[in-house]
Amino acid sequence: MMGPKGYDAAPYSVPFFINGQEVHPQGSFDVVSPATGEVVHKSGSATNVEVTAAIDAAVNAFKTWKQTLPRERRDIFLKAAEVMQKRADELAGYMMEETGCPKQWADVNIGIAKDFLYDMAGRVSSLEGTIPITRDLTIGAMVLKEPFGVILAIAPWWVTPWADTSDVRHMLIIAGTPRMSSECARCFSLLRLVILPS
Amino acid sequence: MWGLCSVFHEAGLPAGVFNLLVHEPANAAAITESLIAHPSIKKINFTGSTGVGRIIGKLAGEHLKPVLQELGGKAPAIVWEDADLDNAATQCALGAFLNSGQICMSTERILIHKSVRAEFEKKLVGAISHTFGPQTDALILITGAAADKNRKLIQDALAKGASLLYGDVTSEESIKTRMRPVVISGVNSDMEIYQTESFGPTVSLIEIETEEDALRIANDTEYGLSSAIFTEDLRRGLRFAREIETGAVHINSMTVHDESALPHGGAKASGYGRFNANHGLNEWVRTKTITYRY
Repeated sequence: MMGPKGYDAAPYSVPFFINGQEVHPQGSFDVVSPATGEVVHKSGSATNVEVTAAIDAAVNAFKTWKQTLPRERRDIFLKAAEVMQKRADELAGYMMEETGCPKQWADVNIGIAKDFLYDMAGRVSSLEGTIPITRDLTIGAMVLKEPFGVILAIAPWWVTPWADTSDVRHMLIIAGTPRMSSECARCFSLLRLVILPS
Repeated sequence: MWGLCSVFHEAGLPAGVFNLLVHEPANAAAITESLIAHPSIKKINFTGSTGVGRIIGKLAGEHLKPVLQELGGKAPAIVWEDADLDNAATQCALGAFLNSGQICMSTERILIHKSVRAEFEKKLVGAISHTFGPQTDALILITGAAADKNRKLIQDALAKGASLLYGDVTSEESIKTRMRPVVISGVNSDMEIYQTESFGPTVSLIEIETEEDALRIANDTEYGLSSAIFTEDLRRGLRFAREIETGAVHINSMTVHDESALPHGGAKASGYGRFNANHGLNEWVRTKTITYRY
């Protein structure tokens, strides 16, 4: 967490998430507050080692994540919205610290992000396939909607929770559920890469 | 970013479903290319600048991977002669300067009808002073280079005949990343700011008199993400709305507008693909056709 920074002399470095674990890579760089010009903390800097680990984790997670039911994903999204509310001040603090925005704007962003999560929770069971009628009565057909698999989402580091949640939520909650054919629900695993402005 | 990832994990998202990496500019090309090329990556989303979007699009094309891109904008706000000018002024001020103008949907051009120009300019100055005036801290941009870019765009326009309506382009703030709002009027196509996305606290006023002119200038940009029209005549508003090549048109409210029920995404160099609602969900599934003989 960013919270514990300042516990000791070493500057805090924002970790990655790989396979559910916070990972501190070898390389790091300074995160500078645009409001003050001062280094607020460091961030991990990826190499191909972490890229491979992240892809492997995503590929592996997809095997079971795609078997989850829409209601399970819905509940995770509802819970995530609650957690976002509970941690709203902490999250707003990161945004203010790293982008220099006022509290009011950070709060607006987190409000929208939270609404996006609730909205997706409500929509997850609405995705359906179809059963078209073919040109031959002896041939039936169904059109499934299946998740792509591992998705790469790229955004600049300063992108706000509003845009960030906007990007990620669809990919996480997606479900290919042509109910009439009893196809089971599927979902994505996601690899999120953050890039810095060049 | 770490925050969102952390929230999902606290909410019980299984390990490996949402992984997060950050890299430095120096590694950008190598890491992005190896990720896009990786056979396990099936689709890509990029949210960011049009310049980087072109590179991502090329790489994805080479590997035949689908992409959803949400890129830059040059959003116009048309203020017609019958508009509620108080509302138009407030919405244009917010649309141009919220988050220091660093929103893809930020208002970049205000197309003001000749007959109400003087009155609107007064109200716009009032609206900006009210929310972003000297009683408030100077706005903050993500980088000092972004502030420099905005100052250069303004200076270029002023040198080519634009006039300063609000702000002080020479003012120095406590730090290079800070800049106060600037509005210039009399902007035309000879000036760099006419086509260049400022992505900062500057906005251009352009006078229009006919619907044809308004539409021509609103569409005379490589971008097409959002737009606004201010008029009390909804028929005229809808007529404009149909003719602007863009992802969104907001009649009587600001260009910055994104909510869960409405599709969000661009036309032209503002990108392709849609976020939000079922449009967003459908971006991340592909169909599979199955037939069976009885």
